[in-house]
Amino acid sequence: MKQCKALLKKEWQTHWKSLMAPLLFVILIYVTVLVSYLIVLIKRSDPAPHPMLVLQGIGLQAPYWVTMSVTIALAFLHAMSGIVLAESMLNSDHKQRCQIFHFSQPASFLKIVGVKYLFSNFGPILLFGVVSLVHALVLSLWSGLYSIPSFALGMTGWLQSFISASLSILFLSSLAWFFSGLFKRKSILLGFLCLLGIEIVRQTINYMVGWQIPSLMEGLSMMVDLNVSSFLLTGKYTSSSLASLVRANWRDIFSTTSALKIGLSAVLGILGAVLYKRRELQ
Amino acid sequence: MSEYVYRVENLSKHYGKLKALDNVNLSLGRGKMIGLLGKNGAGKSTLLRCMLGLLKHEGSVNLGGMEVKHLDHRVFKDVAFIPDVSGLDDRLTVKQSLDYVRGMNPNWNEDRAQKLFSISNLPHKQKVGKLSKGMKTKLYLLITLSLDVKYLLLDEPTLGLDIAFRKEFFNTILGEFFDETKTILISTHQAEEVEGLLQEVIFLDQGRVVLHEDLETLKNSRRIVSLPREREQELLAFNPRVISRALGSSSVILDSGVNIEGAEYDRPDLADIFLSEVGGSNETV
Repeated sequence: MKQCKALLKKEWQTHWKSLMAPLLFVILIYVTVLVSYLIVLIKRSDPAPHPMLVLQGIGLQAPYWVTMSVTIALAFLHAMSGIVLAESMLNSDHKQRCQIFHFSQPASFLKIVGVKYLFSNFGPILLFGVVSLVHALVLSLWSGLYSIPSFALGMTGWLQSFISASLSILFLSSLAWFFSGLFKRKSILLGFLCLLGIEIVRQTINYMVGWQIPSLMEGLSMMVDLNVSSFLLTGKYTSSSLASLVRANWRDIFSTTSALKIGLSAVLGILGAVLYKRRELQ
Repeated sequence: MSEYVYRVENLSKHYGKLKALDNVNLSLGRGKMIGLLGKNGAGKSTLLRCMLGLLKHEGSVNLGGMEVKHLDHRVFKDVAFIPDVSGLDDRLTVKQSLDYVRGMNPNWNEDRAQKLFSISNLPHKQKVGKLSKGMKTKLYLLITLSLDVKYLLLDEPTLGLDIAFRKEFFNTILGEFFDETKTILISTHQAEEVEGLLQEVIFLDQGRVVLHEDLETLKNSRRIVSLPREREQELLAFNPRVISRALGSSSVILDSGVNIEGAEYDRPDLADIFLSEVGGSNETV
């Protein structure tokens, strides 16, 4: 336990910037929006239209829509952070030439790599959870002021999009982890080029021989795709149609696709670790 | 407990087509200070890394009855290692590096660490990456010597350190760590610095162990034999590997049993014996 704590602390001390980058980016957006808003307020003689007024036109689903949209936008940022972290976790020790120092400690390979995997995958998800929860709480309360108040609906939107997006982040980070185990340098780029190469070969074979091999890219896209349907809600919803949509989204979240995402993430995690162990220390 | 606790058998290591280690066999006893000497590229670092399971290898490495596998963390319960290049994590501060090893290594000896770091002038808040090469080496040395382990493997430990600290390290610091229960294997180029400390020496050449002997026995079994330059042929008759020519005389290292009329004899130092065994910078015959 003491070793795990020391490893986690070390990973935090060496990778906190990559982990916290989405939060800094969000703060930067807020500052930019606030400054722009103030400039508009100062320059215009008539009051600027309130950005939340648009919610009044959406109707019943406004809190659900708002929290889902914002959570999914935040998920995108944290997915980027997860990819960068996965790459850095496996390859930065090699770049910093300190692999021997870390592997000269009496901690098992499983423990060292396990902590790296947990940090690169669950670190961004944890931060994503906290940041999106704060947003959801504020937005659920705030959107209620300008549309039909429904705090519970707003929080449901957050929870559904959070779970769904977390699974996508987990899969993306694990894919990046796998590529980082495979390649020491420029692993994400090389991994993407590999996928592209496979896709070109597949299309060529399908075109020339007609085997109709399914696309790996499409399969991966399906794994990255969010399970919640129709989060960009259009049209008017009644209470009952909105309730069925929420129920449908829960069904989609607790589906075999989600289980497959978790299973494949675990497989990619193990494969990345095995590839990493097979490397020669330098 | 068996007499030999660190055993290397038929150890070979290839880097592509290059054979870095060639069927190395070694047995290291407890309570010894052992020098590992070899020219650049002899395979010293590779040998130490294979002994620790840091490199994949052919053959067997056995530590106290335990077979050492690739990336086998169990080795580090009994062994500490300093590589030839400062491999500390540049992203951590000095204090964070200490805290990290303290948390990771149950062998950490807080009292010794306090004592060692109190005599160093290492800036605790400084990032390791901002330290000078010598400071990094010093930090790595002090961290490693703060561990209570049975075996200490040092690969060129004082590379980049100033003379004052090197002297302090060999004369005082290393002495504080060493006792009859511990074994220190030092790979170094600076034979003269460690000569007074060593009990055994291992000469490595082109990936092969060419000599593994008790240092005192080795010194007693060889001597420097000098003759005037015009009698050099008499020395060459013994097929020495290296001959030194200076001030009108020629010298070679020969078996101490060899007697030549009119020759001058002297006790060789470790560097002399090393050169005589593996050849080197002096004039090779």
